[in-house]
Amino acid sequence: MIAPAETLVQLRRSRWAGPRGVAVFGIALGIVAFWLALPPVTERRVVVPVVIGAAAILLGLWAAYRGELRPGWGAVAAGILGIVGGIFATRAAVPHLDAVITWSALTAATLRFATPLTFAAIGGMFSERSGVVNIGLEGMMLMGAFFGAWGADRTSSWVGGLVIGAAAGAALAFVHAFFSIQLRADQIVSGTAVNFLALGITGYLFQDIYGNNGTPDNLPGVPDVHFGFLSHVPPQGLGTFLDDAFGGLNLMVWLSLALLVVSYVVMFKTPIGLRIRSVGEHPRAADTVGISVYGVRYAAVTTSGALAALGGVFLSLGFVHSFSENMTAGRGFIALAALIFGRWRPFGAFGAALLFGFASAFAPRLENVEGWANYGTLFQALPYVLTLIAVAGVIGRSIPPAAVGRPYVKQ
Amino acid sequence: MTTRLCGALACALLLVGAAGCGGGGKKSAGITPPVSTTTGGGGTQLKVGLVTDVGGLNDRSFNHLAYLGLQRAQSRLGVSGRVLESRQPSDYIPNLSSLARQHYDLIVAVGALMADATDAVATEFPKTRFAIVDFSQAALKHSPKNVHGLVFKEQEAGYLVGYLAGLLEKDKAAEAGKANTIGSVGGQKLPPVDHYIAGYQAGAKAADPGITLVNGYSQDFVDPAKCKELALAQIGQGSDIEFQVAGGCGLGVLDAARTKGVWGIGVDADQSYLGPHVLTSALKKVDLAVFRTIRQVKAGTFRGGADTLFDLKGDGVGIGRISPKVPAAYRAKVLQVAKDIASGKIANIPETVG
Amino acid sequence: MHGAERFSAALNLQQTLILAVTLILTGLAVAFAFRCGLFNIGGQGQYIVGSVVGLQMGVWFSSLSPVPHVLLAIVAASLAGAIWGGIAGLLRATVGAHEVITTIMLNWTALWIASYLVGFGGPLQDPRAGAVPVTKEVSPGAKLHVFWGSAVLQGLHIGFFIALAALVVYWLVLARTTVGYEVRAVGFNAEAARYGGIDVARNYFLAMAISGLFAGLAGAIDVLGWQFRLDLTTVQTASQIAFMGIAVALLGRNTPIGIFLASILFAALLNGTSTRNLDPSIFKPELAGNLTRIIQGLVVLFVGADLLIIYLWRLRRKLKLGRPKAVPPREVPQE
Repeated sequence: MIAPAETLVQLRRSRWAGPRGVAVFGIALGIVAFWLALPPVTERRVVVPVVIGAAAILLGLWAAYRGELRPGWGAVAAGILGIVGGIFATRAAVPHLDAVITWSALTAATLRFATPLTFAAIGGMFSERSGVVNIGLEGMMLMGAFFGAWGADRTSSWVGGLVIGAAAGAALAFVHAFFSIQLRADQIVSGTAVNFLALGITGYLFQDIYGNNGTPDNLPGVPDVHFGFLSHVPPQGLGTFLDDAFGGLNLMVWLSLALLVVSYVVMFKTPIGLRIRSVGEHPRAADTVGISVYGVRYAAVTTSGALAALGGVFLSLGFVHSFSENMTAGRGFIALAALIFGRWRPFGAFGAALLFGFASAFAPRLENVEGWANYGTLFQALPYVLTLIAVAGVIGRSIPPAAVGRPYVKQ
Repeated sequence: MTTRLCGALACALLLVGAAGCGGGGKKSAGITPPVSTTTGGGGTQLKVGLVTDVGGLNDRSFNHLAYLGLQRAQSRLGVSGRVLESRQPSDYIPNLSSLARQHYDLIVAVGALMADATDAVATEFPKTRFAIVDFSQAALKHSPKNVHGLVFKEQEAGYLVGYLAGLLEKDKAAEAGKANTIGSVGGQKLPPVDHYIAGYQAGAKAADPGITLVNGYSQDFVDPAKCKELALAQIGQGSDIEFQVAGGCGLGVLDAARTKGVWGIGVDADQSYLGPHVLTSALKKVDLAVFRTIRQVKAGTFRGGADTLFDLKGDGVGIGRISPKVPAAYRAKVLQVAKDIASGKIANIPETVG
Repeated sequence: MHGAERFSAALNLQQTLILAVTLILTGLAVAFAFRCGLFNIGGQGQYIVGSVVGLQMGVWFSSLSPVPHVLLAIVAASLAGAIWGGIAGLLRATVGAHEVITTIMLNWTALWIASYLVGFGGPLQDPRAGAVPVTKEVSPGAKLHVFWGSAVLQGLHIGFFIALAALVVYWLVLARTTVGYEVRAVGFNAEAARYGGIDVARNYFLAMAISGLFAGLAGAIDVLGWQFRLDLTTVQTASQIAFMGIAVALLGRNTPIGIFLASILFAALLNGTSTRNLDPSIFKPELAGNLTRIIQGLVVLFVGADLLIIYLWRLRRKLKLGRPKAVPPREVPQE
């Protein structure tokens, strides 16, 4: 028998020493190569990012050669990105770079991009962990966005909007649940249908109720939360950064972070979560021990609709303070990808949403760099390419819940 | 399972087919009035068709405005109107050709992206009158003689709002002792969008030569969150006035202006109803253009094979309601500039963003 | 039938079949991967890649005679689609990256790259178009022959037969070849297939590549059949039809006949709910678009739920049987 302490040491050694550790270090080097060329460091010599990036590539190649394929190639990719990014950044004019890279604003924007994705991805987690594929997240978000705005308008309070929006998302999810659980329709077909329905219903009601002037301009939005003390955090630079980045975020951004913790606890530390997961992994066994498969799935899918809808409510009430047709613009599908990327776990999904959010916040700023104005469309691809690289290089295999996508037939 | 499903599919097909036929029958009854008017001579009601591009009727931009123009013609000129929404690019030609086949007296195509479709259908139906918004007749492939182009000098409207923005910013920056910066957010790099922005920048420079201009494209006309992020970034760079040229997406720009306490400038229609943070709007009167074209057809003065240029002089573009908070002296200056543009004193306003 | 009605009937059938061509091929793109146990949401990206490559092949080589020119464009576009799909397959096969993530990301990547190519200042933009973001037109020889209706007014082109042939090829490959057998075996049970000596990774790649081939072909046929040139908006909107391919494949239970029927259904639905076929006195123009989306959603929902009828029937019987006990007496007279 090995003592626990030794096991721990061994574990740590096996995970981080050797080729794997070297590869991770290589990935970090690649990022550093790019970072050095950006404000506030703003290294102007081309050599610096090139040399550091090349080092990252070499480390990656070595690690790959020693059998750590995935992190190895990840390091190679990071090194190439570091070199390319570094060359471009060193050739751009400094004032332009300063305009593009304001870390505090980027942080805030990243969180804003990530919030709707987080809500929807966690919603998706409840559904898929219970064994029901939810491709209808997009539609559920859209329901939240419209009915949130409508509810806030009707009740003259954002709380009312929040509740009505979530209820509308849950209602749409219930339709999905009824068709895919009770009627055993194909879950993907049902999800696709639900997306169409949401697009039509929200657009129709929006036109019918609000017409061409849109939702009223005095719509009660979800308030921003101001932390005055952040700007007083010493030293001065850090305080300003914290205040700019976190001092004026919307309440729903913080709510999404709280939801992360709550959903993690519910899913992995409580009997409820155990039931959801058992129904998703082995419904027959769950049924045998007396868990109502249909009941759990209904509850999980409906919850997922309510949560996804909150993502939509953030968009309409928390961020842009109005509704417009199809305003979710594919975010539901990105959330689905984030969920799988994060291996059906809340913090994993949040990590994916952050990565995606950062790239989305960063990409449009690139066209401010001198001479890059014509490549605006190309930069739009950045978040998707980065996610691809991350999935291929670092994340790798995601194994879904065993029974996902399969209708359950009661016996 | 498979056979059952095939059965269901076949049933659904039958249903859709039946619905399609039923709709078709009703439609012909609905469109062609009971009196057969197409060859009936005097006193017949003019039939006008409008085909939108894939932006749809509720795009808060030119499709919507064109529809307003048609509606005005219906109520004021007593014409009968029909609007067809294109939902995918494959709808353009069928929409235009089915109206032509039903002997519409005028068919209006909205948007430069329908140029090829309009050219093809107009060439096939040389006796039907067509009008196309945002595209010059001469630039059509066959330059058909039955098409009238409705083109706009958006840059003149852009110049006016830009001039006002420049005046305000010069003042404000001088007071605060900081750099003067204004911004603009476009949807995509399309000719009408760039006309506006180029004019805006030229106008601002004319009012305040030392001004810094920031510009960005959201690559989107639908998603307001994207535009809001861009506008927030520009405001973070010091921009005090934000001009949106992005349809529904641009509403996010105006919201960013409101939340950050800076001015926003609307586009196409007068967007001052959105709140007191809207400084003014750059107007492009597509509704007027469509209405006038229909009136020409009614009066018999419609002339194919040519363009009408809608500019400041002809009241085809202009500046919307200016916020009451703007000092009267500035309004007077802007009005003077409008006169100068109309009289040709200010000419050669750029069309492309440099 | 009168002339006008006849014309309108013919027009509607032509347009329905043109849409059906795209739906059949994008449906096959989903179905083939599905038979291998993979969910290809990437039809959109593969379609875009196919249409851009098909377009450019149609613009270049204008000296070729029609048949080889069309063949060249179609083959090149299909290969491009296969590569784009194959990337997802390769990532699944080598590092195990889930194809739902990779195909969604590849969709957007293709969309933005194509937008760049076609857009203002992009390499494919027609220099004569000024600032309008549109490409050159494919040369006349590369256009697909129109066999029904007007060639100028978007009549039905021979791409229809290509799509029918693709259905047959799909069936042949799956049912009559080793590749098809292995793909199905992997889709049925990947672990068992592995024990049976089948190279699962290779089949993941092949299945995605063949799927992409179908979607790329769809893009090429659209661009050579009726689009003829691509503009920014077309690139970003026309490809959305690929999402409907998912529903087509699944409604058709991934069988050739099912996919054919489902694609006709969806094409008829799309065409039939177009505003030109709706009575404006019933469907207010500004609401019609959204109303038809609701109708589409309901049709997909109810066609997909074949158990609904059995369910309702049982429910009715249960209510009938249960009525004496369950329903309080005072409510009975209401019926």
